[in-house]
Amino acid sequence: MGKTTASPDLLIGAIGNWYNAIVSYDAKKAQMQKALTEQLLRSAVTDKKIQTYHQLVEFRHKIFTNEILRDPLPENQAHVDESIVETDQVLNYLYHLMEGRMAFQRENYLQSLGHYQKAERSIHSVSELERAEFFFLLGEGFYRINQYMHASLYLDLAKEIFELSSRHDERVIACTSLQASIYSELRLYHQAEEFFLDCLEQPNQKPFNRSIHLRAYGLHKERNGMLQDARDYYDEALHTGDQYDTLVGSKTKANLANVLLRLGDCSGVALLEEAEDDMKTYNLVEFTAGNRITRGFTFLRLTFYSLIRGLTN
Amino acid sequence: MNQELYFEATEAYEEVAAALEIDQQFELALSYMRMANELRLKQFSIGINN
Repeated sequence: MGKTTASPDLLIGAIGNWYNAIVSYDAKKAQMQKALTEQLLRSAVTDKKIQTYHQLVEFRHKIFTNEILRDPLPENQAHVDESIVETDQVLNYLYHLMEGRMAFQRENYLQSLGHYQKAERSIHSVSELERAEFFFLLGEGFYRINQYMHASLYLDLAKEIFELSSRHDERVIACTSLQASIYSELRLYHQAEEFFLDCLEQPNQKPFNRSIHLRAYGLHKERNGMLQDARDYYDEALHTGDQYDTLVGSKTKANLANVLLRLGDCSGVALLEEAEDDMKTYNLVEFTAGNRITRGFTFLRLTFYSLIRGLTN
Repeated sequence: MNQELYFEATEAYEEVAAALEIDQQFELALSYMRMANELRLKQFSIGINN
Protein backbone atom coordinates (compact mmCIF):
# COMPACT_ATOMS: atom_id res chain seq x y z
CA MET A 1 0.00 0.00 0.00
CA GLY A 2 1.31 3.50 -0.84
CA LYS A 3 2.21 5.97 1.87
CA THR A 4 -0.51 8.56 2.43
CA THR A 5 0.34 12.23 2.66
CA ALA A 6 -1.10 14.38 5.45
CA SER A 7 -2.53 17.72 4.40
CA PRO A 8 -0.37 20.73 5.36
CA ASP A 9 -3.59 22.31 6.68
CA LEU A 10 -4.01 19.52 9.21
CA LEU A 11 -0.42 19.95 10.30
CA ILE A 12 -0.75 23.75 10.58
CA GLY A 13 -3.96 23.28 12.59
CA ALA A 14 -2.25 20.84 14.97
CA ILE A 15 0.75 23.16 15.49
CA GLY A 16 -1.67 26.05 16.14
CA ASN A 17 -3.58 24.02 18.75
CA TRP A 18 -0.29 22.96 20.32
CA TYR A 19 0.86 26.59 20.56
CA ASN A 20 -2.50 27.64 22.05
CA ALA A 21 -2.23 24.88 24.68
CA ILE A 22 1.26 26.12 25.64
CA VAL A 23 0.08 29.73 25.85
CA SER A 24 -2.88 28.70 28.03
CA TYR A 25 -0.53 26.61 30.20
CA ASP A 26 -2.40 23.35 29.52
CA ALA A 27 0.38 20.74 29.80
CA LYS A 28 -1.80 17.71 29.06
CA LYS A 29 -3.29 19.19 25.89
CA ALA A 30 0.12 20.53 24.81
CA GLN A 31 1.57 17.03 25.09
CA MET A 32 -1.31 15.54 23.08
CA GLN A 33 -1.04 18.15 20.34
CA LYS A 34 2.74 17.69 20.24
CA ALA A 35 2.28 13.95 19.64
CA LEU A 36 -0.33 14.62 16.95
CA THR A 37 1.95 17.18 15.25
CA GLU A 38 4.86 14.76 15.22
CA GLN A 39 2.66 12.05 13.73
CA LEU A 40 1.43 14.37 10.97
CA LEU A 41 4.91 15.71 10.37
CA ARG A 42 6.10 12.25 9.29
CA SER A 43 3.83 12.25 6.28
CA ALA A 44 3.18 15.93 5.47
CA VAL A 45 4.93 17.93 2.80
CA THR A 46 6.12 21.12 4.48
CA ASP A 47 7.69 24.35 3.30
CA LYS A 48 10.42 26.26 5.12
CA LYS A 49 7.93 28.53 6.86
CA ILE A 50 5.93 25.65 8.32
CA GLN A 51 9.18 24.05 9.49
CA THR A 52 10.20 27.27 11.26
CA TYR A 53 6.73 27.49 12.81
CA HIS A 54 7.04 23.93 14.11
CA GLN A 55 10.58 24.39 15.41
CA LEU A 56 9.71 27.59 17.28
CA VAL A 57 6.67 25.97 18.91
CA GLU A 58 8.83 22.99 19.81
CA PHE A 59 11.34 25.32 21.48
CA ARG A 60 8.48 27.04 23.31
CA HIS A 61 7.21 23.62 24.44
CA LYS A 62 10.61 22.68 25.84
CA ILE A 63 10.85 25.92 27.79
CA PHE A 64 7.29 25.37 29.02
CA THR A 65 7.87 21.78 30.19
CA ASN A 66 11.16 22.77 31.77
CA GLU A 67 9.35 25.45 33.77
CA ILE A 68 6.73 22.94 34.89
CA LEU A 69 8.95 19.95 35.63
CA ARG A 70 12.30 21.30 36.68
CA ASP A 71 12.05 25.00 37.32
CA PRO A 72 8.64 25.74 38.89
CA LEU A 73 8.17 29.38 39.72
CA PRO A 74 6.33 30.77 42.71
CA GLU A 75 2.85 32.05 41.88
CA ASN A 76 2.60 35.51 40.27
CA GLN A 77 6.22 35.41 39.24
CA ALA A 78 7.30 35.03 35.66
CA HIS A 79 10.60 34.74 33.86
CA VAL A 80 11.58 37.93 32.09
CA ASP A 81 13.34 36.28 29.23
CA GLU A 82 14.16 38.26 26.13
CA SER A 83 14.52 35.25 23.85
CA ILE A 84 11.04 34.07 24.86
CA VAL A 85 9.57 37.50 24.24
CA GLU A 86 11.19 37.54 20.80
CA THR A 87 10.07 33.97 20.07
CA ASP A 88 6.52 34.84 21.08
CA GLN A 89 6.46 37.85 18.78
CA VAL A 90 7.52 35.74 15.80
CA LEU A 91 5.14 32.96 16.87
CA ASN A 92 2.28 35.42 17.22
CA TYR A 93 3.02 36.55 13.68
CA LEU A 94 3.35 32.99 12.33
CA TYR A 95 0.32 31.66 14.19
CA HIS A 96 -2.01 34.35 12.82
CA LEU A 97 -0.42 34.19 9.38
CA MET A 98 -0.95 30.41 9.15
CA GLU A 99 -4.49 30.54 10.56
CA GLY A 100 -5.27 33.42 8.17
CA ARG A 101 -3.95 31.42 5.22
CA MET A 102 -6.09 28.42 6.18
CA ALA A 103 -9.22 30.56 6.61
CA PHE A 104 -8.48 32.11 3.23
CA GLN A 105 -8.29 28.69 1.58
CA ARG A 106 -11.64 27.81 3.14
CA GLU A 107 -12.97 31.05 1.56
CA ASN A 108 -13.64 32.56 4.97
CA TYR A 109 -12.14 35.89 3.95
CA LEU A 110 -13.29 38.05 6.87
CA GLN A 111 -11.90 35.57 9.41
CA SER A 112 -8.72 35.43 7.36
CA LEU A 113 -8.33 39.23 7.42
CA GLY A 114 -8.98 39.25 11.17
CA HIS A 115 -5.98 36.92 11.63
CA TYR A 116 -3.83 38.97 9.26
CA GLN A 117 -4.60 42.13 11.22
CA LYS A 118 -3.45 40.40 14.41
CA ALA A 119 -0.31 39.19 12.62
CA GLU A 120 0.39 42.75 11.51
CA ARG A 121 0.93 43.75 15.16
CA SER A 122 4.08 41.61 15.21
CA ILE A 123 5.31 42.48 11.71
CA HIS A 124 8.31 44.41 13.11
CA SER A 125 9.91 41.05 14.09
CA VAL A 126 10.18 39.80 10.51
CA SER A 127 12.35 40.45 7.46
CA GLU A 128 11.56 42.79 4.55
CA LEU A 129 10.76 39.90 2.22
CA GLU A 130 8.49 38.31 4.80
CA ARG A 131 6.75 41.68 5.09
CA ALA A 132 6.30 41.74 1.31
CA GLU A 133 4.79 38.24 1.49
CA PHE A 134 2.46 39.43 4.21
CA PHE A 135 1.40 42.56 2.28
CA PHE A 136 0.70 40.32 -0.70
CA LEU A 137 -1.61 38.11 1.39
CA LEU A 138 -3.40 41.18 2.73
CA GLY A 139 -3.79 42.52 -0.80
CA GLU A 140 -5.24 39.19 -1.88
CA GLY A 141 -7.57 39.12 1.16
CA PHE A 142 -8.92 42.62 0.58
CA TYR A 143 -9.37 41.81 -3.11
CA ARG A 144 -11.58 38.83 -2.20
CA ILE A 145 -13.93 41.01 -0.14
CA ASN A 146 -14.05 43.67 -2.87
CA GLN A 147 -12.06 46.28 -0.94
CA TYR A 148 -10.09 47.31 -3.98
CA MET A 149 -8.48 50.48 -2.57
CA HIS A 150 -6.94 48.56 0.34
CA ALA A 151 -6.03 45.65 -1.91
CA SER A 152 -4.28 47.92 -4.39
CA LEU A 153 -2.36 49.70 -1.65
CA TYR A 154 -1.01 46.45 -0.14
CA LEU A 155 -0.19 44.97 -3.54
CA ASP A 156 1.84 48.08 -4.45
CA LEU A 157 3.75 47.77 -1.16
CA ALA A 158 4.44 44.08 -1.75
CA LYS A 159 5.49 44.57 -5.37
CA GLU A 160 7.88 47.37 -4.44
CA ILE A 161 9.81 45.03 -2.13
CA PHE A 162 9.60 41.92 -4.34
CA GLU A 163 10.99 43.86 -7.31
CA LEU A 164 14.22 44.43 -5.40
CA SER A 165 14.84 40.68 -5.14
CA SER A 166 16.09 38.60 -8.04
CA ARG A 167 14.42 35.48 -6.58
CA HIS A 168 10.86 36.81 -6.47
CA ASP A 169 9.88 37.27 -10.12
CA GLU A 170 6.89 34.94 -9.67
CA ARG A 171 5.63 37.06 -6.80
CA VAL A 172 5.94 40.26 -8.88
CA ILE A 173 3.86 38.55 -11.60
CA ALA A 174 1.29 37.42 -9.01
CA CYS A 175 0.96 41.05 -7.80
CA THR A 176 0.50 42.24 -11.40
CA SER A 177 -2.13 39.56 -12.02
CA LEU A 178 -4.14 40.64 -8.98
CA GLN A 179 -3.82 44.30 -9.97
CA ALA A 180 -5.12 43.31 -13.42
CA SER A 181 -8.10 41.59 -11.79
CA ILE A 182 -8.82 44.73 -9.75
CA TYR A 183 -8.86 46.82 -12.95
CA SER A 184 -11.15 44.22 -14.49
CA GLU A 185 -13.57 44.34 -11.53
CA LEU A 186 -13.58 48.14 -11.81
CA ARG A 187 -14.51 47.78 -15.49
CA LEU A 188 -11.25 49.37 -16.62
CA TYR A 189 -10.93 46.93 -19.50
CA HIS A 190 -7.84 48.31 -21.26
CA GLN A 191 -5.72 48.69 -18.12
CA ALA A 192 -6.72 45.16 -17.12
CA GLU A 193 -5.75 43.81 -20.56
CA GLU A 194 -2.37 45.56 -20.36
CA PHE A 195 -1.59 44.09 -16.93
CA PHE A 196 -2.83 40.58 -17.84
CA LEU A 197 -0.80 40.47 -21.04
CA ASP A 198 2.25 41.66 -19.12
CA CYS A 199 1.73 38.70 -16.75
CA LEU A 200 1.15 36.06 -19.36
CA GLU A 201 4.09 37.15 -21.52
CA GLN A 202 6.59 36.65 -18.68
CA PRO A 203 8.84 33.67 -19.47
CA ASN A 204 9.90 30.89 -17.08
CA GLN A 205 6.79 30.91 -14.89
CA LYS A 206 5.96 27.83 -12.90
CA PRO A 207 3.18 26.05 -14.87
CA PHE A 208 0.75 26.03 -11.94
CA ASN A 209 1.22 29.76 -11.33
CA ARG A 210 0.66 30.40 -15.03
CA SER A 211 -2.55 28.37 -14.83
CA ILE A 212 -3.80 30.70 -12.06
CA HIS A 213 -3.14 33.77 -14.23
CA LEU A 214 -4.88 32.09 -17.19
CA ARG A 215 -7.94 31.47 -15.03
CA ALA A 216 -7.93 35.11 -13.88
CA TYR A 217 -7.71 36.20 -17.53
CA GLY A 218 -10.65 33.90 -18.34
CA LEU A 219 -12.69 35.52 -15.55
CA HIS A 220 -11.82 38.94 -16.98
CA LYS A 221 -13.02 37.86 -20.44
CA GLU A 222 -16.23 36.41 -18.99
CA ARG A 223 -16.82 39.60 -17.00
CA ASN A 224 -16.71 41.49 -20.30
CA GLY A 225 -19.10 39.13 -22.08
CA MET A 226 -16.42 37.50 -24.25
CA LEU A 227 -17.61 33.96 -23.59
CA GLN A 228 -15.65 32.13 -26.32
CA ASP A 229 -12.39 33.69 -25.13
CA ALA A 230 -13.31 32.90 -21.51
CA ARG A 231 -13.99 29.26 -22.46
CA ASP A 232 -10.59 28.96 -24.19
CA TYR A 233 -8.65 30.47 -21.27
CA TYR A 234 -10.47 28.35 -18.67
CA ASP A 235 -9.74 25.27 -20.74
CA GLU A 236 -6.06 26.22 -21.09
CA ALA A 237 -5.86 26.96 -17.34
CA LEU A 238 -7.32 23.55 -16.47
CA HIS A 239 -4.75 21.78 -18.61
CA THR A 240 -1.73 23.79 -17.46
CA GLY A 241 0.39 22.81 -14.46
CA ASP A 242 -1.92 19.98 -13.34
CA GLN A 243 -4.56 22.47 -12.24
CA TYR A 244 -7.30 20.01 -13.20
CA ASP A 245 -6.99 17.92 -10.01
CA THR A 246 -6.63 20.78 -7.54
CA LEU A 247 -9.08 22.87 -5.53
CA VAL A 248 -8.59 25.81 -7.91
CA GLY A 249 -9.18 23.39 -10.79
CA SER A 250 -12.62 22.57 -9.35
CA LYS A 251 -13.50 26.27 -9.41
CA THR A 252 -12.26 26.56 -12.99
CA LYS A 253 -14.38 23.53 -13.95
CA ALA A 254 -17.44 25.29 -12.49
CA ASN A 255 -16.58 28.49 -14.41
CA LEU A 256 -16.02 26.56 -17.64
CA ALA A 257 -19.23 24.53 -17.21
CA ASN A 258 -21.20 27.74 -16.72
CA VAL A 259 -19.71 29.35 -19.85
CA LEU A 260 -20.17 26.19 -21.96
CA LEU A 261 -23.84 26.00 -21.01
CA ARG A 262 -24.35 29.67 -21.76
CA LEU A 263 -22.80 29.01 -25.17
CA GLY A 264 -25.27 26.13 -25.66
CA ASP A 265 -22.57 23.46 -25.42
CA CYS A 266 -24.03 20.39 -23.64
CA SER A 267 -20.58 19.09 -22.61
CA GLY A 268 -20.98 21.64 -19.82
CA VAL A 269 -23.45 19.33 -18.03
CA ALA A 270 -20.87 16.56 -17.42
CA LEU A 271 -18.30 19.13 -16.33
CA LEU A 272 -20.82 20.74 -13.99
CA GLU A 273 -21.46 17.36 -12.36
CA GLU A 274 -17.74 16.80 -11.97
CA ALA A 275 -17.37 20.27 -10.42
CA GLU A 276 -20.27 19.56 -8.04
CA ASP A 277 -18.60 16.35 -6.84
CA ASP A 278 -15.35 18.26 -6.31
CA MET A 279 -17.14 20.98 -4.33
CA LYS A 280 -18.49 18.36 -1.93
CA THR A 281 -14.97 17.03 -1.42
CA TYR A 282 -13.52 20.49 -0.79
CA ASN A 283 -16.64 21.83 0.96
CA LEU A 284 -16.70 25.05 -1.08
CA VAL A 285 -19.97 26.72 -0.11
CA GLU A 286 -19.74 29.73 -2.43
CA PHE A 287 -19.09 27.59 -5.49
CA THR A 288 -21.69 24.97 -4.53
CA ALA A 289 -24.27 27.77 -4.51
CA GLY A 290 -22.91 29.00 -7.85
CA ASN A 291 -23.24 25.52 -9.33
CA ARG A 292 -26.85 25.29 -8.18
CA ILE A 293 -27.57 28.55 -10.00
CA THR A 294 -25.90 27.16 -13.15
CA ARG A 295 -27.94 23.96 -12.77
CA GLY A 296 -31.17 25.94 -12.31
CA PHE A 297 -30.30 28.07 -15.30
CA THR A 298 -29.63 24.94 -17.41
CA PHE A 299 -32.90 23.37 -16.30
CA LEU A 300 -34.84 26.52 -17.26
CA ARG A 301 -33.06 26.72 -20.56
CA LEU A 302 -33.72 23.05 -21.41
CA THR A 303 -37.39 23.44 -20.38
CA PHE A 304 -37.62 26.53 -22.57
CA TYR A 305 -36.14 24.62 -25.57
CA SER A 306 -38.59 21.71 -24.98
CA LEU A 307 -41.51 24.16 -24.92
CA ILE A 308 -40.35 25.87 -28.11
CA ARG A 309 -39.88 22.45 -29.77
CA GLY A 310 -43.37 21.43 -28.58
CA LEU A 311 -44.87 24.60 -30.00
CA THR A 312 -43.11 24.34 -33.34
CA ASN A 313 -43.67 20.59 -33.90
CA MET B 1 26.24 35.50 3.52
CA ASN B 2 26.43 31.73 3.59
CA GLN B 3 22.87 30.62 4.39
CA GLU B 4 23.86 26.97 4.72
CA LEU B 5 26.15 27.94 7.55
CA TYR B 6 23.17 29.27 9.50
CA PHE B 7 21.26 26.02 9.06
CA GLU B 8 24.27 23.89 9.97
CA ALA B 9 25.06 25.93 13.08
CA THR B 10 21.42 25.77 14.22
CA GLU B 11 21.32 22.01 13.74
CA ALA B 12 24.65 21.57 15.53
CA TYR B 13 23.35 23.47 18.59
CA GLU B 14 20.22 21.33 18.55
CA GLU B 15 22.18 18.09 18.36
CA VAL B 16 24.32 19.12 21.33
CA ALA B 17 21.16 20.07 23.25
CA ALA B 18 19.58 16.68 22.49
CA ALA B 19 22.72 14.82 23.63
CA LEU B 20 22.85 16.83 26.86
CA GLU B 21 19.16 16.14 27.49
CA ILE B 22 19.76 12.39 27.16
CA ASP B 23 22.61 12.85 29.62
CA GLN B 24 20.09 14.58 31.94
CA GLN B 25 22.05 17.83 31.94
CA PHE B 26 18.89 19.83 31.54
CA GLU B 27 20.15 23.31 32.36
CA LEU B 28 22.99 23.05 29.88
CA ALA B 29 20.70 21.46 27.27
CA LEU B 30 18.33 24.39 27.65
CA SER B 31 21.07 26.94 27.08
CA TYR B 32 22.05 25.18 23.83
CA MET B 33 18.39 25.09 22.81
CA ARG B 34 18.19 28.82 23.41
CA MET B 35 21.23 29.40 21.20
CA ALA B 36 19.68 27.29 18.43
CA ASN B 37 16.46 29.25 18.81
CA GLU B 38 18.25 32.59 18.61
CA LEU B 39 19.83 31.52 15.33
CA ARG B 40 16.44 30.44 14.01
CA LEU B 41 14.90 33.79 14.93
CA LYS B 42 17.82 35.50 13.27
CA GLN B 43 17.22 33.47 10.09
CA PHE B 44 13.62 34.61 10.13
CA SER B 45 14.38 38.28 10.78
CA ILE B 46 16.96 38.56 8.01
CA GLY B 47 14.86 36.69 5.49
CA ILE B 48 16.70 33.39 4.98
CA ASN B 49 13.34 31.65 4.98
CA ASN B 50 11.92 33.63 2.08
